[in-house]
Amino acid sequence: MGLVFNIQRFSVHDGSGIRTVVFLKGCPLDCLWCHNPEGKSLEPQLMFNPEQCIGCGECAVCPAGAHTVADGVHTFAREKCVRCGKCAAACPTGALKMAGQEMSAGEVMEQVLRDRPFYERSGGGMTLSGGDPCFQHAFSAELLRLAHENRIDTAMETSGFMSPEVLARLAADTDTFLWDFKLYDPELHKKYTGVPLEPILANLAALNEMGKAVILRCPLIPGVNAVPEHVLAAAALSHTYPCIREIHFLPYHRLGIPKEKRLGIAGRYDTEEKPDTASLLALCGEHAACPVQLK
Amino acid sequence: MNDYRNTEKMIELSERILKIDAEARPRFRSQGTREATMTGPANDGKIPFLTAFEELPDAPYVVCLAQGIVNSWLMSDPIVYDEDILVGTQRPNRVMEEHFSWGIRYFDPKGFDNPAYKGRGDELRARVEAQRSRMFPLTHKHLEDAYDEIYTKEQCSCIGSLFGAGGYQGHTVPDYFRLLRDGIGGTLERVHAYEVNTTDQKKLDLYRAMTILLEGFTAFALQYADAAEKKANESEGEARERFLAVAENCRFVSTNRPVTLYQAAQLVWFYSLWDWVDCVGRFDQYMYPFYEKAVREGDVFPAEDIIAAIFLKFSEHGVHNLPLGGVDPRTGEDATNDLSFLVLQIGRRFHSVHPRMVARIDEHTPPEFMDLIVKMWSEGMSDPTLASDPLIIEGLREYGVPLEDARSYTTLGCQEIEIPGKSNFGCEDGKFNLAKAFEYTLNDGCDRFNGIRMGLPTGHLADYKTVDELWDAYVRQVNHFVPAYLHLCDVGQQIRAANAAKLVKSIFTDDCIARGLHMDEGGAMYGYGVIETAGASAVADSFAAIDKLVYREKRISPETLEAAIAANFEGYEKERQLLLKQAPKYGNDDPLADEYMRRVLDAFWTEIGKYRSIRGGAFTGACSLLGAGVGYGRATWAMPDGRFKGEPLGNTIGPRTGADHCGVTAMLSSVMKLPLKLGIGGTTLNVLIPCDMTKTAEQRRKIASLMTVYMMGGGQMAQITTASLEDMLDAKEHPEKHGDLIVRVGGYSAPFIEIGADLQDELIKRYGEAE
Repeated sequence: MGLVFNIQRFSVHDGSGIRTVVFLKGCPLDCLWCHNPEGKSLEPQLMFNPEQCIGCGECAVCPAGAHTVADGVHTFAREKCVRCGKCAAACPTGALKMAGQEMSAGEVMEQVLRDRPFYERSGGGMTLSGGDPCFQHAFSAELLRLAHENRIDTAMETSGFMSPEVLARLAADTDTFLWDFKLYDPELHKKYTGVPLEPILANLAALNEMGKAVILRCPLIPGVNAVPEHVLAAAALSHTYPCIREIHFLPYHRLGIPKEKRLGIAGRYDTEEKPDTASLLALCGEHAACPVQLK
Repeated sequence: MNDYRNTEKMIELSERILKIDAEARPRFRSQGTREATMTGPANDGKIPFLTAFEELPDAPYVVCLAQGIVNSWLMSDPIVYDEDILVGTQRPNRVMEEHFSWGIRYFDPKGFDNPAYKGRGDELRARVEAQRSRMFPLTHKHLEDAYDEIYTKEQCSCIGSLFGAGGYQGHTVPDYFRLLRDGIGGTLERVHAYEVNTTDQKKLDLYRAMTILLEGFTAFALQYADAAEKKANESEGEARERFLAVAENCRFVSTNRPVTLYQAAQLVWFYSLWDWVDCVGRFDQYMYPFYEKAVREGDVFPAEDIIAAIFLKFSEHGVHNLPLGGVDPRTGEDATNDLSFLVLQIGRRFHSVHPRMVARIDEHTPPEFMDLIVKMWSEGMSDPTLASDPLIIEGLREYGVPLEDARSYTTLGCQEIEIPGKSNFGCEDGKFNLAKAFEYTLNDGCDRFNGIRMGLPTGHLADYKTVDELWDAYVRQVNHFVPAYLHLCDVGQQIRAANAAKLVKSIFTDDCIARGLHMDEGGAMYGYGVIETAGASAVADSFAAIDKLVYREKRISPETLEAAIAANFEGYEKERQLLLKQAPKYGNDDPLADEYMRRVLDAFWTEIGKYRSIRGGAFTGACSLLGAGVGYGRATWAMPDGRFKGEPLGNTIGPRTGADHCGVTAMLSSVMKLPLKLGIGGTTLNVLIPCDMTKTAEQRRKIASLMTVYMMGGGQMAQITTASLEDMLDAKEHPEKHGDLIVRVGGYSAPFIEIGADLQDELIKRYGEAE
């Protein structure tokens, strides 16, 4: 069984053709700007959106007494929450939702296979994302294997931070890697993501040896990595590793912030600053060995 | 030779066409509504129809009507614009004119008070009164009486929220192939050949009427020839040569069969005016031989100019449907040709609402054709609409249409379907609101707004032990209304047939001439009825909600749901939220909700299919009017899908607005499960595609694949809107800045700023959810 927090059909931005993206819980990194904060933890989490709450009090089913409603106003004591999901099941409005649902690989595949005609026409398939699929690697490997068994193209969006053994296992049934490159400088990488850069680059070298197709994905975070040094480093990687077919830059957006609030994670990275992405893109394009795109 | 298949390149128009466009553009009225584009120049105070009946006191109805139509044209001044190479404009918008083209409901004697009639209102009303029994053999009273026979006065006062009978019927497509093959003279010979071989007075009357019309057509074309010649005499140089060419062209096609593209285009345009045409049939097919010849041998004007000129005429006059592509009727092979591409490119260049282009898609549609189509969407057009050849042809076959005829189909009107030159389809015999029937089912057969008993006393929700019992009650409730309803639809059509016989179309519709019957008497080979269907998704979602929350999970008791519905959810927000958010909704590839949607449509369309319309064909289902969902929604009470009283019902065949949240592929997968073969009256799906998904060639290929799967996998018709939410919100605030924002609304392309606040909000909501 795996822990899935979303299955998104008709995705046209994550790999070739029309794709279904399976979002798996758990991530080894702790990026400050994470836009899928509900994907980080390897446990189901309760998300509470007060804007949708009508104060009906159905959530009083909570065995730990985490929810109280007085005069139509709902108070949630997250520290008492035991993540059982009973309140979310009872909530009529969807103000309380569980991020993370136990599913078998077969159940996931049943969803993925529904869009087969669309994959076949468009050259699409399944993309694993997260979190980071390498965190639930056994489950991910199973999904990838099943997809290939069903003759469905596979892609995986990953931080690349995993052991060589896990990489080898996942790579067996992955057609394309969407490989994150978050920060050019090892020290800054450690500072902003919580993990060292070196194993990620070593894995990239291994993929290059295997001859796998890689798309390098670089989020552009104002004040962190939206700088010429970073895009030049990305360009340099494309020379070192010919397996890199394309470089994609992903502009920073603030969609993660409301989700952090619903998860009870307070005040992380937030900026309205808009870097000069066009110049950075052009700079990278000048030096890269492959096409560069803004996604 | 040409590169019209190159999507990256915009077509370059000649100086001549740019001049014609500049001259014509101020004449395009509001591009929004059909009415605005279809009404002719201002009233000239003439009375062609009344004159015909007065001057022919002993003639039968069809003869007077034919003479009235001819008078109507010959009394209008032929206008030749300075730059035109094709000529012919609308007739003026006179009082009696409206009567004859739209049916009696629209005849308003007060119209004679228009200053154009110079104070003769009372006199003209008295003269109409004197001719009334001859001019209006049947009146709307006939339909009112039919209602009174079936329903009580009380019931009549609110049956309008369940159905409307006797809608507009007149969108049929003539046989353009035959028009071009025989010309007007050849057609006249054809009529005479039948005339000399019969003694049946009724047939003789019809042939006389047809002869009057065809001779009138010749006179009408010659009027234009004279007008152009007059212009030539007043001009010199290039202009003089051009007007002389126009004059010669008009004179030629007034009787002869066309030989060149220029002649064919003028004849098609004259005919379209003459007949008040809604759809010009398979233009790229019947024009292709002429086009190909013009490209090969040359013509008076370059082939591109002639096609662009007629396209501008279609635009100016609000032609509604221009089908392109699709298979060849004989071979079944894809017949998309260079002309199909050229017309699309011209439409793309003009970026106008009319004519509405429809692309027929088959298994072998050239990929470049789809590419160009998606490119046009990405540039903010909602044309062309897509129509699925495999599904529509198979559907027509199931209704008994032979293969070759089925392959010749065209769309028309609000995207109904018919066989050109052979049909008198109902187009819109009536509309039926299934959600209202379901409202009765939950309320012992009574209307919730006023308590009036309308249907069968089937009980209340708490009386049904299982969801299957509820289903049975709903089906009984619907079927209870069907026979009486379809009878009323027929009565409505009888009135129209009696008062507005489609005489001009009858000449070019098989087998009217051979049978000696006009279309509304049974002259047409195919006479299917079309019933527009509203509210289906609301019924399906309600069943899914009741099935899951009341019967399976028992989270809401039948009594509570009954009370919540009765109270329009006031005081029951918790229940409403459950129904809205915790029950599956059609449009998300959910087996339960989709299966109910399938059953709702299958049950209704199969039932109406058991009956035959007075025109001889079976009644078929249709689902193409967005307005119907808004209008009927206002008159429909709260529903167990969580919808408040008065909120819009879902539009066309798609899910309830905003209810689909699993992506476009899931939505399409839901729709592909439906029995759209039975909805051969026309079922259009509105698909909203965020415009940021069509920016690059790679993205556009994905959208092309997406829609091709729908077209080949069980979808029927689809119209696409690509616009950003910001565009729409800003257009609401600053309409003046967004005249070019064209959206797709139930069979119509319309400027967003002109569709009214209700529909604007509807689209904004639909789009907001999609983003």
